Amino acid sequence: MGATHHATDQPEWVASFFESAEQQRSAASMGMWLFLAQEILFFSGLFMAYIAYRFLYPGTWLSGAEVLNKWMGAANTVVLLTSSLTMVLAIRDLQLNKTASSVRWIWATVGLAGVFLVVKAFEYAHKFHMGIFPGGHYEGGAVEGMAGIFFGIYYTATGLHALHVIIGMGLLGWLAVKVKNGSVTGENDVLAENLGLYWHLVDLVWIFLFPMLYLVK
Amino acid sequence: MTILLNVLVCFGLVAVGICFFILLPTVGQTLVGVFSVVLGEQSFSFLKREESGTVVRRVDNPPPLAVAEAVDHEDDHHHEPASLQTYVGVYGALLLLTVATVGVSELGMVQRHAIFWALVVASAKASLVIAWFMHVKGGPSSTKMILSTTAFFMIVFFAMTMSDLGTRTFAFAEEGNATVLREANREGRLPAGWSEHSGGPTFTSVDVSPKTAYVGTTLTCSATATDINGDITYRWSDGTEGTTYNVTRFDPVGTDITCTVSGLDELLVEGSKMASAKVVPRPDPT
Repeated sequence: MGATHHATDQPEWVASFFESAEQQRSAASMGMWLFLAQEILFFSGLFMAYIAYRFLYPGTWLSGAEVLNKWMGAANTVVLLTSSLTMVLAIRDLQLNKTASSVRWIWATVGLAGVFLVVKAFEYAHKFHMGIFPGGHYEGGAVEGMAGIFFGIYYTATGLHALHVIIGMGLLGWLAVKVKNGSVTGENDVLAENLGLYWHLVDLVWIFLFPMLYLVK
Repeated sequence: MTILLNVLVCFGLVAVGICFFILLPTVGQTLVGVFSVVLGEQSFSFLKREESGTVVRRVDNPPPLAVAEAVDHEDDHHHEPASLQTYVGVYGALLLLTVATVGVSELGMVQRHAIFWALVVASAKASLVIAWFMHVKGGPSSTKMILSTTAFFMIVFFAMTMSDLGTRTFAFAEEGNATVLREANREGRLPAGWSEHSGGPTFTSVDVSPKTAYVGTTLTCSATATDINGDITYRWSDGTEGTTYNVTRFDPVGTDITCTVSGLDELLVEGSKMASAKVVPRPDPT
């Protein structure tokens, strides 16, 4: 469909103020990228806090990272990477008009997000049990120095990331319903693509959080 | 001089950032290529020729931008999905890099090397996700523009903050029951009104045995400490490190051989204590 088509020739899912489906798609996609740009800058504030305090309290960071379980972090990395794969496969099948299979891949993504949260919950529970709470509530003895600051940053960064995962699960569930009832199709798939972009961003943030919190010590 | 250094660091980081985004598709393609070779010839083929139903774009000889745009608009369908092999290849490369980064962390490298390699691997993984899963490679130039602008400002943010923090001196000060980090002058002295943190580990005992020695004696230094973060360092008067010291003919009779133990507390403040043994003439055999 070219840009010369009249509004009346457009499918009903193209808004009246767009000249073409392609224009609507690129506008929606660009809007999503602007949102992702904001998300990247928002998370870089957290990364900056991590870097600045690591610079000031190197000893605390060394002993703090010892408490974190590298293998749980690594397992969660694999889970999130796999969920990114199921997400691209969902969009691929949607674009190939294999709706049923696309819906299955979306639910697989939601399921993997759930697995990620369960592992995260075990990690948090273990730390609460040890008396490791953020900031001034820290009462463990496991970490020397400014442990409250280290775990304040740990809980803020991983907690905000987990919040993104929870929101992503809700949005993907909504997408699965929309794909199933036919309001998102291979032709009109920009919602699926944008939610895919959001999901990959959640994965990207974890790709940096994992080595910085769990591995570098 | 410091200002010059800051400016250079800022420009260096910006340059690295720009290179990163220029190289992004290349890094992605290389890693996918490497993984495909591991997987086998069949999955490697998608890099060599375009199969029907794929949007893997040829890097060599790209059409001019205007032509590319026109071609995009002529397409009946906005974009066909990439091949299954591409996605599985990217996924495999991501898994390999995850194994690599965990493996590297097990090597017990010097900390700053460990940080460097962890971030290199994380950036490679991020490049793969951005280029292939998020379809930035072969995507519209507006996306690349937004992404590089974001990266630019992120780097400015990091570089400015770190060049500020890195050019100040800090020292620990006592404030009531708390120890706080305060800005100090270049010599590390705190401003008037602040009492310096009198920290450092407390050495409850330091002992060199035996107390008298002669040529051939092996001295052993032992110490216990509280509030210590890490290991105790044992340093002898001749500059060598270790818990034992062999008295030789180069240690004249009458000298004191000292063992200085030191260590860092949780705030990395150093503390030390000393013990010694005296060199005496070797007793005559009886």
